Amino acid sequence: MRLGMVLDLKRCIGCQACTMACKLENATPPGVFWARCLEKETGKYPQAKRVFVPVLCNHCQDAPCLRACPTGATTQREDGIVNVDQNTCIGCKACMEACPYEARSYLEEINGYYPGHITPFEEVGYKKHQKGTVSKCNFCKDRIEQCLEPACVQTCPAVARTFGDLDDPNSEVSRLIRERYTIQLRPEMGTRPSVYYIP
Amino acid sequence: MVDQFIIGFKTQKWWGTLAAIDFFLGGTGAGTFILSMYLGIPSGMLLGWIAVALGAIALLVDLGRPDRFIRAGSQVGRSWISRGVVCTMLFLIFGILRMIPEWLTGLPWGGSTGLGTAIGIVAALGALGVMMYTGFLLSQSPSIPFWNTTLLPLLFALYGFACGAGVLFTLSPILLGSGGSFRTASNLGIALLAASLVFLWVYILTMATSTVATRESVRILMTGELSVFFLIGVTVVGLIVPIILTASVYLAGSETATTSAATVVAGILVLVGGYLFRYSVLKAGVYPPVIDL
Repeated sequence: MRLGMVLDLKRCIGCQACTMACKLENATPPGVFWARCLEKETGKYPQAKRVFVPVLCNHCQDAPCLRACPTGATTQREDGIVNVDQNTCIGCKACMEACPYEARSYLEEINGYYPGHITPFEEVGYKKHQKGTVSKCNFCKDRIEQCLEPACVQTCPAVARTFGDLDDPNSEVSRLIRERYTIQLRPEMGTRPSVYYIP
Repeated sequence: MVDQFIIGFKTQKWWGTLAAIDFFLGGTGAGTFILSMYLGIPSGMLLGWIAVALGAIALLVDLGRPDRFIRAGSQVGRSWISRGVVCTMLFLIFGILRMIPEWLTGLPWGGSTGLGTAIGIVAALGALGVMMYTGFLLSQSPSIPFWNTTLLPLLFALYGFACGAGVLFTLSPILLGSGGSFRTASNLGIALLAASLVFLWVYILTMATSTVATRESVRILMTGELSVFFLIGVTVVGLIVPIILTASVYLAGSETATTSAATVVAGILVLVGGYLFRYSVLKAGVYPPVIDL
């Protein structure tokens, strides 16, 4: 099994619902984004348009972050998920330098979203996070274990995200990759990402 | 924070001043140790050892969780930081063992015994590792193309030796005196500085015609926010002026108060340039956009 995702850029409306769903699911502190929707203005008036590209950890098959980690905190599971054990991470940030997709976040401080106040939600959620360590998207592994889709996939109002097993030829992700023209981000880096895009 | 949501070139922001201090002290200390060992200057070896130890402390301070530092050496098979930690440990242990007989007689590995030579070789190899691992660390990753080149480990090694010569020049009135050691160090220093200048500009010119991301890095160094540091600090102050000064001392032949002062000034300038070199290379690291639009 190799878990992966296909994102249809033609469907993405740049609403950042995925960004917010990720923050809610994983209770990431301010400044930490495991999922983001990037944007860029292209073309010139009257043909100018905004392009949206949702990004997250690519769970690369040949992950440079894995090679850079000096402690073994970054590991790859049997299902392809690249995971960070925050109890082992020393916060050297080598993995952040190594990741071509800037998918990792460093927890410099863990503050609440409201000045001088931690909400009950944050109090519970922040137990997953450690100051001085690096964290990133893990395809919502806790949800996957409950046979649920990652929060960003479930939330996307434009159904731009499809999640599944890339090794299963009958899965929806395999079908999309087979039938549609897909690209991976920065393929020249040789990282073999598990996230595909329909441009 | 808005920057995180825009597609475009991004300069790396995670390794800065503290990492540059670690790279500088590690490389300079290791270079000082090896050159001092070659020239037979025990106090120079001690200085080099102290610099590497201070560099390791700077690395420790830069960690998010320094209390877990001991784990950093656990992935020698794949991580250059782990290899660097092992090289640093080897150097610190064998370096001090190599130096003890210089001050304490009667030890089984003292003088020119086989064991003493073996300890010296391990210490020198450890120092070479300390000098080069930072270059390999930067060059192993494809994410920042400006760093992703085999020229970088070689350049870092050259700069390590050049800064080692810089330390010897700076402290030449105390460490070298006016004998053969001074002339050998002086000749070595000129060669190392000239080689560093050539390699540095081969690196920059290669990067200037490589990918769009490397061109952006070179732009930052040549005309962007780091241009004063790089052109004036690294190239003119750190290399060209010291080369002119040391060459003048070499051509003057005999040693006078003026040539001694020129050597000391050259040494200080090399060290300033050596730090700025590491800082500039780190801060000029640029990630290309995740997608071409």
